[in-house]
Amino acid sequence: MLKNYFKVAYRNLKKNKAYTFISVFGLALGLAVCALLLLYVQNELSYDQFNKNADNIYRLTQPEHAYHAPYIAIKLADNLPEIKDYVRIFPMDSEIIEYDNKQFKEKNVPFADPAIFRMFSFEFVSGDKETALDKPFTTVISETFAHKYFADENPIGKVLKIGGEYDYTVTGVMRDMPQNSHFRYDIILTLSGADKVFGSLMVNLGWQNFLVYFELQEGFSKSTFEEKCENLIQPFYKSYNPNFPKYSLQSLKDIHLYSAHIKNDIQPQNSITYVLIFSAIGILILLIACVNYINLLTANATTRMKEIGIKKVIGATRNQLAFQFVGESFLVLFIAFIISLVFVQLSLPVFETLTGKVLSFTALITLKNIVGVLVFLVGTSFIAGFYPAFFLSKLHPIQTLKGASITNKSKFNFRTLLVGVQFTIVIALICSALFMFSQIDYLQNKKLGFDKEFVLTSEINGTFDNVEKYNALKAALLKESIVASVSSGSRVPSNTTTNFGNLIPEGEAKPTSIALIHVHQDYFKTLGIKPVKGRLFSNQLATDIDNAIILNETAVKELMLKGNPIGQSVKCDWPKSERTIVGVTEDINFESLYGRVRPTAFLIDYSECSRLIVKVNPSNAETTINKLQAICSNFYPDEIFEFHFLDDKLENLYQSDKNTFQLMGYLTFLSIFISSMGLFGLALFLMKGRTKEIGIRKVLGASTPRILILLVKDFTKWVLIANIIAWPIAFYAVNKWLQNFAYHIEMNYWLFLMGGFIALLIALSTVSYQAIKAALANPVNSLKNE
Amino acid sequence: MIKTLNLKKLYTTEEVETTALNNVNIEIDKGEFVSIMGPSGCGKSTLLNILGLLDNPSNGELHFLEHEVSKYSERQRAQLRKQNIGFVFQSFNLIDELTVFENVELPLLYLGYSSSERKSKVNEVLEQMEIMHRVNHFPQQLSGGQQQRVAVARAIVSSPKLILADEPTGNLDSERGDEVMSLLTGLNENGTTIVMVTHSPTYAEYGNRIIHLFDGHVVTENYKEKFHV
Repeated sequence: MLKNYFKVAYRNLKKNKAYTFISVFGLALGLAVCALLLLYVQNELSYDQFNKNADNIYRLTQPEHAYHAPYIAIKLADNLPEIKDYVRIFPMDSEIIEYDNKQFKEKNVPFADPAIFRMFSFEFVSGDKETALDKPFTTVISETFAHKYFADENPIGKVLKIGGEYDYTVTGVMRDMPQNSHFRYDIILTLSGADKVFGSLMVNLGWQNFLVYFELQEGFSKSTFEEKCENLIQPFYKSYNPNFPKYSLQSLKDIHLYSAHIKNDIQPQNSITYVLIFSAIGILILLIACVNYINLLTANATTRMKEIGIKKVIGATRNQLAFQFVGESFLVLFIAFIISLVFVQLSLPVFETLTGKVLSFTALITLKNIVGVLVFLVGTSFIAGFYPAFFLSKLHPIQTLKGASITNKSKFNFRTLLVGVQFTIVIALICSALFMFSQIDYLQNKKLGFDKEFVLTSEINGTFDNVEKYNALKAALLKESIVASVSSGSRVPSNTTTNFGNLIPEGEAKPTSIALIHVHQDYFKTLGIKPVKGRLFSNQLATDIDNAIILNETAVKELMLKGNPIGQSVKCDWPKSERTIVGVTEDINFESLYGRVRPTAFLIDYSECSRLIVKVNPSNAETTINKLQAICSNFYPDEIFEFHFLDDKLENLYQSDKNTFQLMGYLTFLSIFISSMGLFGLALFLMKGRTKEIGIRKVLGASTPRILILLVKDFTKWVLIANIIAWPIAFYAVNKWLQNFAYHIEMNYWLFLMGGFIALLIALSTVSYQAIKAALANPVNSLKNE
Repeated sequence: MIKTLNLKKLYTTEEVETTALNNVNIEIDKGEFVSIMGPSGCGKSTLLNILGLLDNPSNGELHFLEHEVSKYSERQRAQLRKQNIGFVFQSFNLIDELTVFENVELPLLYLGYSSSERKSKVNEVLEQMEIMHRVNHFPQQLSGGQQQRVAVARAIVSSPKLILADEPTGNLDSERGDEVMSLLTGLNENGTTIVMVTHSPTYAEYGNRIIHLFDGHVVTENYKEKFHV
């Protein structure tokens, strides 16, 4: 019996090649996309789970960032019994590391407390993870790092020179940190004996540059803990910052996906929003593929009424027929499933590039997934097989034998409803994608308040505090015809502004925390920033160095300055000085457009300027950079100059967004493709079912265009209805997503219309081929078919 | 074998009620060959379907092999049907996706015969129908006469007590029609009861009785006599 079922199933699939191809290929594509997205989501959700103590590790955060003064952690640990252990990490952007005359500029070089390897589960290749960082001036490196510096030598006991100044002995080699760790370092320098390196900064409460992690006792109360933290820390800051920020704990497992509010995190983290979006898209695409399949299967089943009738006459029971159809459906699904695995395997490298992740096919093989797939296959088989199995086999055998048309008499038709659902999904996706693309376009082209083109920047380890040396470099650079302007500052656009100082306007007592950017004189000229009020710093006025300050418009508001701000004086604590406001700039978007422009003040302080800014004239990028590097190295032989174009750096701010949008774009395209395929298949069956009607109409004198209109009218109606349902859904989703950005596009209603129009166009062009074919057919042939 | 008592069949659509059969009382004995005649729409096929347990009457009694089956459920009718009744249709009704062998094998599958039993029984009837050389062909590859022989083979493969034939010669030329009729006669001679609906007075003559229907009524029953409308 089973063999007979298989035979019939196989021959039917072979006979209806278009149907089979669309069903199997569409399902396989849908399943493959779903599997890839599952891999992605699994990976995203797995961050930091490898840590044995993950459940008890928390990061201390403030509303906008996770950086604290190093002393805070000690104070809390000494007073709160809930704290089992703490780790402070001071992440440095880059550092020059030297060994045996080999010198590299390493990115992401952190200092960390020795407890880091006790708290987090990083594996060691050699050395003792318990004690590796206990002694001052020790360091642990990764295998990759070890190979880079020491090749095949044993790294243990080797001495690395850090920043040209301090010698650190390698005491351990760890395996490369897993990709799904929220921090990934190749070298960790000990904080043991840190005062020898940082001196009194270690007890400076204004030096808020440390990430703080706690391992807490099980069963502690989060809210009580946070309250205690505040009570302990508040006294330090209260006199000095009335808007004392709230402290909260963030679970280690939440860091990767729930840190959208945290600025300047150690790695750009992802957001749970995107994980949810991609989960939803995965499910929707699978739904589209299933709808296709169910639609085609039911449409195809009506062509098998004769078979059902004969089998019933001969004595097949309804259960037997139901079993046959459900089984057939399962077979198709299973074939599609196998093909989807091949698709996944083939597309994994491309998907990895798109997501910037290292994913493994084997990660799909989990008990949960296997059970999920089985439930899906059996469930969909039942749903898809349900219609022919129960509805058709319920029909009277005589009716089915006579090929009685079972076109639904009611206006409500399950199949068109499904097409409607499908188009609702597709339209919502198209609209969302359109908005996403306009938003990224907006991010890239928004006027930021400065010139981002032809500006090169390079960060050095030290600062440009030696004015003579710096001026000599500047003069040498300006001699080059390609160089238009030179300056330096503590921050350039694309850097997060993490230096905060307190400003007290004249006549006020309360200080206000303002982001500070310390600059050399030509800073504004080099970046093309113009004042909206007053003037910029002048090379001619020596008093500007100690006495002038420039604010952005937000800072003027934040300080609640009355009247014309120009000429008013403010007290500043970094450097301690009394300054006169000489100019106001517009709100320059220094950071990504996710956040509002902070209140910012600019002042001259050479000792904080570590970033060289060179505005060049259009020329060959590589030769320009080489030339600049040669000149700079002449003056600063101990530094490594790596120049980057400012516009590239700004674009990098949105790199992960761009990847996300790109992926979103591909997924939208795939969803359109799969549903078009389904629609094409469905049209094929529907037109077939209407050949007699078309024939009669033509005999009675209907023109081809009129028949065409008749045939596509239904589809058009459903797409239009789908639009009406899809728009509010897309509106809600897009609106919610746009809230993530402080600066975003407006809700352009025409984008919804465009989305709907695209969907309609796709639907019509898909259906038209079949419709034209049907409308042009010779009525004699179609009537003969009856 | 079959007895009907005041058999009535109504078809109800949204607005119209049609009486297809009205007070039909007939009795068919084991071993008979009964022809049913009548103009289009007189209820011949409806009667055949009810006799064949494909449909339930609206009213009246239907006795089949000592069972009163008029109120039987679909499942009960299917059970009784597959063991006792074979069908032959005007349009052959073979399954296009199955070969000759597989089409004929189908009733045996639903009756739960073993593979070897099925094979020998199918081969036997195909020999009998002289269609063995086409055993692996698909229906579309056969002529109409050949298709009908396959259909007859399928009807008799489970050795049913009753064969119901709904215009078995309707789609065939006279030569093929004659062939099919002689097949049916042969089966009847071997003891199978046959009830056949036909438009052709000539083929009706093959029966030992002709039941004539008009507007859902039995008008006359003739035993081995010619009847003219």
